[in-house]
Amino acid sequence: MTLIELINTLTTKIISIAWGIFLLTWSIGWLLKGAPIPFIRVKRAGQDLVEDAVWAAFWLAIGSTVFALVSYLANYITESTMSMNVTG
Amino acid sequence: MNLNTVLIVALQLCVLTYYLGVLVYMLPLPSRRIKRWGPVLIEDSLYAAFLISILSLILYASDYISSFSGYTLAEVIGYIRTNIIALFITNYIARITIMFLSIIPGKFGSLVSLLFFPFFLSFYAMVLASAIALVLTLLVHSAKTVLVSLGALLYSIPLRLGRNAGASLIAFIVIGNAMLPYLPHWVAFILTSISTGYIESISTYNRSVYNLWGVVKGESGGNPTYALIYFNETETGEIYRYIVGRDGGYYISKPYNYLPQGSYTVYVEYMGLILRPKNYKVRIPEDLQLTNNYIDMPYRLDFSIDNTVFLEPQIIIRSNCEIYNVSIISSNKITLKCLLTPYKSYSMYIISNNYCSMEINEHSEIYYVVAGSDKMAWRGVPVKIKKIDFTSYKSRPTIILDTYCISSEIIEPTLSEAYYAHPSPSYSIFDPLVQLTLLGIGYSMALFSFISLFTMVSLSLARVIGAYYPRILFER
Repeated sequence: MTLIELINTLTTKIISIAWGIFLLTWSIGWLLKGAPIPFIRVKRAGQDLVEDAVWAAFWLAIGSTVFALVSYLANYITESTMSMNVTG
Repeated sequence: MNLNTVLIVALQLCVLTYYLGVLVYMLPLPSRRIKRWGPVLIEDSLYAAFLISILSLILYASDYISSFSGYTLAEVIGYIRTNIIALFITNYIARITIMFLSIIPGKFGSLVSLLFFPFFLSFYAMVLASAIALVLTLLVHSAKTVLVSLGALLYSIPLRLGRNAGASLIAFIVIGNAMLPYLPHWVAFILTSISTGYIESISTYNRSVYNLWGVVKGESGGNPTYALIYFNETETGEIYRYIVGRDGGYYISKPYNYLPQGSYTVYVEYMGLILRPKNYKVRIPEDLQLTNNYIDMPYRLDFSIDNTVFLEPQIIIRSNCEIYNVSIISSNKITLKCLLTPYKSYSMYIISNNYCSMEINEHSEIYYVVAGSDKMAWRGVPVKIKKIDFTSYKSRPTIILDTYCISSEIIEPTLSEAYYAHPSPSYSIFDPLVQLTLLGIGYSMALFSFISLFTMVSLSLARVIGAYYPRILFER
């Protein structure tokens, strides 16, 4: 097992754990939010959990896209700068 | 493990950091202290990934900046190495000389060792400074890519564990690669400044000195080409002599040229003539005019010569009537207007190189006779002189002159030894020794100051690319 494989396996594991935790957090969030108790702070915490979970799920889903975008941008800058300097 | 693998590992670490950040973000914990790390990790990973992706661009920019210096890192290594070898050889020669002389009975050995004392004084500092600079340059030269990749790898470790180290490494290499080729320029700059400062301070007897430039003009704004301008100090009798260049300007620039404060009479030597400018008596610095045209010559002092017309190429017209208007009609015809007393005799001299000659046009409002002509040589330039006697029935006659040139070439006079003639300052025997010591210390100081500049810049860059507590490679 090379270092790259190790990191990749680790990443994959973290992704699957993250999906699991998303469901968990989302459920807990709704549970707290919908609980028949009159404590507004508990309900607020539930609301926060749901929001965080949804945002994180969003980032999780577009993870590969984000990195593709970063590498595309970097490549674009590098290519255009270098070719500009070579020709000009 | 090759360098590409290192960069791939670094990028994979960024991806890992990203998902770790997402994971922390969605943890079902109400604690803000832990969840605060979520966005931070995501941000870090994206930033690191971007930095690693444009690493080749950063190195390219660093190379690009260094290319302006005119030196490569290998040449800088050669430069420092040559200096170290020269230092060693001088040291050996000095010690062997002392050793041999100490065999002879008497005190020759100690006498020579006394003479070498200033050199020994600065020897160790010079070798130490050179060696440090050499090691740094060698490191950047040979381990550039390895260290940058290592920096990238450290930079992308999750939770900012290697961020300081990574950013510091990348900054060290990038700045070293860009800055170290400028080392010879920096050393030369410092040594010249020290040396000229010292020479100036001991050669001017505490008089302030001025660096100036100016233009020599005739009537109608024409300039002499390749003339000499003399500044004679009226009190001390020193003569300062400078070349008036092709553009009609003279330039007394730092570091070796200057005029000390005082009053001067000025004259211009051109085509065998000694010409006195209108403002031939000048006082320095009172008559100087402050300008910002040149950094090394802050003052300007122009000279204009009356009743004299300079024409291209190398033609002078002089007259004892008062020339008040010159118009150049075409390349071979000019008209002069002169103020004179009617029916009184005047003369005009036309001086040119032997490619050109001038005739008075028959439409001129004067009666004239060619009174004589002569040939001579002025500093290697063949010069023709023609004298014309004339008189006129008008008080402001127009004189038309036709030029005939077989070549418009300007013959350059040999003025090589005529740059300046400073009075020789009274050097004592200690001055060369003091200067030797100053240069030795100056050399070490130049290297150390360059290294500390290099340190400061790389620390700043490390801070810019994300190190909170940047360190440098050779910091204790």
